[in-house]
Amino acid sequence: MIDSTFFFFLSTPGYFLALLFYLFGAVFTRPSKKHTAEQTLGITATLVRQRTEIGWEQMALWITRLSVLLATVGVIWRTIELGTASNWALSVFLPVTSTYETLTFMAWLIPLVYSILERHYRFPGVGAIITGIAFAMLVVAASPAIAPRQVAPVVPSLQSYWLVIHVLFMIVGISLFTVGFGAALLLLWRRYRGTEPAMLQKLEELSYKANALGFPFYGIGGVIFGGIWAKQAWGAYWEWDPKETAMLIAWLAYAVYLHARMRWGWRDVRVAWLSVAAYLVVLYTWIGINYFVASLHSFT
Amino acid sequence: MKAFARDVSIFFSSPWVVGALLALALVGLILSLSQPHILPPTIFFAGVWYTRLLWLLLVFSLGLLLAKGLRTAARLIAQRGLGWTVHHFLTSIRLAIVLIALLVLIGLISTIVPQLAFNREIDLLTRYGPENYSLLRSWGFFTIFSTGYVYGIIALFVLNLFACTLKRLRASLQYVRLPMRAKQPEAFAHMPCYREFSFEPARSTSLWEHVRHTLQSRGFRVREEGGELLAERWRWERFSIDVFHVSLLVAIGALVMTNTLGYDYLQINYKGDVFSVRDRNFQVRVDDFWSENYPGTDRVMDWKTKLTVIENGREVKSGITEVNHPFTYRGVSIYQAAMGEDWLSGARVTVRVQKDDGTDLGEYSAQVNEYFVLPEVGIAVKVGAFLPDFALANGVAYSKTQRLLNPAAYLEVYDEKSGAQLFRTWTFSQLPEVQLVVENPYRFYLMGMVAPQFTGLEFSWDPGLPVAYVAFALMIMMLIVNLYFKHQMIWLHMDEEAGILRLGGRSRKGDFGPTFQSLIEKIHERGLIQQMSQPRPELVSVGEREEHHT
Repeated sequence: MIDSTFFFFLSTPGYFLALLFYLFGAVFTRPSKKHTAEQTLGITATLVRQRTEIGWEQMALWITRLSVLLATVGVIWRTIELGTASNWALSVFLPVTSTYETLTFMAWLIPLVYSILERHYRFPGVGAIITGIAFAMLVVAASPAIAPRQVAPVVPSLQSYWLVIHVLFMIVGISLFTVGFGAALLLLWRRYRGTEPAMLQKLEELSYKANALGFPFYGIGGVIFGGIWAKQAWGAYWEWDPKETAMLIAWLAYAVYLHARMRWGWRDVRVAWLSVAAYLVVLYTWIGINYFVASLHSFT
Repeated sequence: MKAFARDVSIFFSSPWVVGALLALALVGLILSLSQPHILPPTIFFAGVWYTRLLWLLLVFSLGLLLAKGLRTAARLIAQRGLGWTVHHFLTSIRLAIVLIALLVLIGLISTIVPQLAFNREIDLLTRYGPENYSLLRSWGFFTIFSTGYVYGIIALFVLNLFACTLKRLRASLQYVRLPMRAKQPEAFAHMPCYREFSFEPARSTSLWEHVRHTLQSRGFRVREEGGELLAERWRWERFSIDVFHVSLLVAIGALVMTNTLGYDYLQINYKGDVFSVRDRNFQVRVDDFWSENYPGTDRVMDWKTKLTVIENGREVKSGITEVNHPFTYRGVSIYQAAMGEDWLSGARVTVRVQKDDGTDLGEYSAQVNEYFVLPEVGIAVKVGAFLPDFALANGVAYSKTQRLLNPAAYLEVYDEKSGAQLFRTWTFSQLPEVQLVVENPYRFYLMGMVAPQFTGLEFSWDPGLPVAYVAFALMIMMLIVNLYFKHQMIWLHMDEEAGILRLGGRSRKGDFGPTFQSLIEKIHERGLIQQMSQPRPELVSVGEREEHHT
């Protein structure tokens, strides 16, 4: 029987194919020798690339859009399944009540935002990273051991509009950190391969901007909105719950990153490694910790 | 000899050696805390010669570093005085890094070692085994956030944050007081944003007014100095990070208020219970409690308890507390925290007793911690414990869950007259044939069990809450200010003889380019100015450069 899982199952190879096409595009396109208007103005001189006749990136973009469309159906279907399971007894909810749901939700949201912004931020490599991450998320979501996919009615402790606010802020924060992480990885890869400094600077700035924007979202969503909801649901806004604590560590890691960049003027490889390390803490907080200790945040 | 001692000292205080020793200790620590069966904590914390050697070397290395730090401190105190040295220490970024690293390490430990706040003691005991458990417990690993050393680290971190905030605040005050000054028009060209335009000298007055009006309509404060227009806006945004840091301190203060002045406790209640609330002169009665399922399913949708507040003998308020919707009266919030059957402390069990020759001695009932007596054979049996889901780990019996999956009762048998304990035994409902835990002349069969329904209510009084919410609101506001408002400055010079208008601009940080561009477009609208030449590319790539001020 067709269910929401089926659509995520379809979009998984879609993202993989898009990833391959983006990689082909990166390999088979070469920097333009023509002087474009933008180059004259010196804005994006190093970024403008001439397309090959095959147009790998264009095809990759269309496959990404198709996969996003499939994932959109999946998310809507999952929402209906969740609503049906609870007999539509709740007024506000989102399909973000389990690890499986947050993974599939983000594997839909991140490429969706990218395909909307693609026109403005066309950047070689970003498409590959976005689709690669979405693919990895769906692969992890496909593992029943890590992310059980059964549809269950929303448990009492999650029945609050704070679920939507808290989780959405966290998701936006994590998504931005993911972009920062991807750009940092790309920077490190290109740095060790020896790419032109202007490109590295652009990547470093992209990574910084994404992380700097993710920082307030993650902090407000985690520490503040999480705290307010915890007060309402558990009676205390801070309890050193393992997931809370791990979230604080991840946030502090990004605080160190921001201070290192702004106060001490760190740039390039050093901040890129810091960004990668901080993101690993985010991943541990989001998924890894669930398998170490019991927590008030254990909802499967 | 002296040279050898110096070399040893240099070697053991070198960052690589200290780093390697710390890394080894960290790996061992994480391994012993997360996989106690591979590396038991009793072994890791100085159980064998190689772990002892590791600790010895680590203490030696850290001791050398500490001695070095103290020598530097003593030198600084001699040179600059105690006050300066303490201030220098507290405002040092290195201290902040060390403290954040320590807090991260403690946080990491707390996410690997189950904390008593969220786990039953018995689960920790069975996970680590009695020896490891008592060792880790004595070191405070299970209540890590209530230990003195964590309080110490947090206190030092707060001091560090406070000192850094003061230092930064002073710099911010200087920055804000520093007036914007007229510059040589040639210096405009070195600003991140710069443009030149030509205009008809005859129309200079209307152009001047048009520019002034345009800037003012965008919220710039405009004044004239040395024949130039100086415009700026949002100078105060510099304080956003200061206020954010202060709010963080206030939020920590609110947490301390909550922990020291407020309270938070769980109480198990049965239907009809009336009880007093701590530090309050009113009582609460539990009228009823129940769970509600999702319509047409057996999945729980909510747990609810109906309460009535009694003050001075009068019923003053009634209401329902449910998950996510606490009941509040006079600042005390009552949360729905648990519900179910109270097997562990309230179970009543029925036991059939037989002699080992098969003679039936009848069925008897008793609650946990109570006795039943068999006068004909002269024994009294105490129900020592009841476990609804018996399990054994590391020699410790415990209940895995609160459901009746493997019920077992622990019986203590006494001589009725002398009161001397004769023996102790377990009896299992699902395994009636398991009997002789110790040799004895009786057989016990667990025939039935009941437990009263309970509702678990959590009582919380939190005087720090309003303070915390104010701090939270300020933190959000300051983050938004920091993101969207940047102190922006524009210098404008008009060379009336040559008919050249020069504009230079910069912002304290971030990308001023789009704002600058849109201002120029707005000024251009009236047709009073003409573009002079294609600007130099590096001057247009505004936003590529950032200016940093501390």
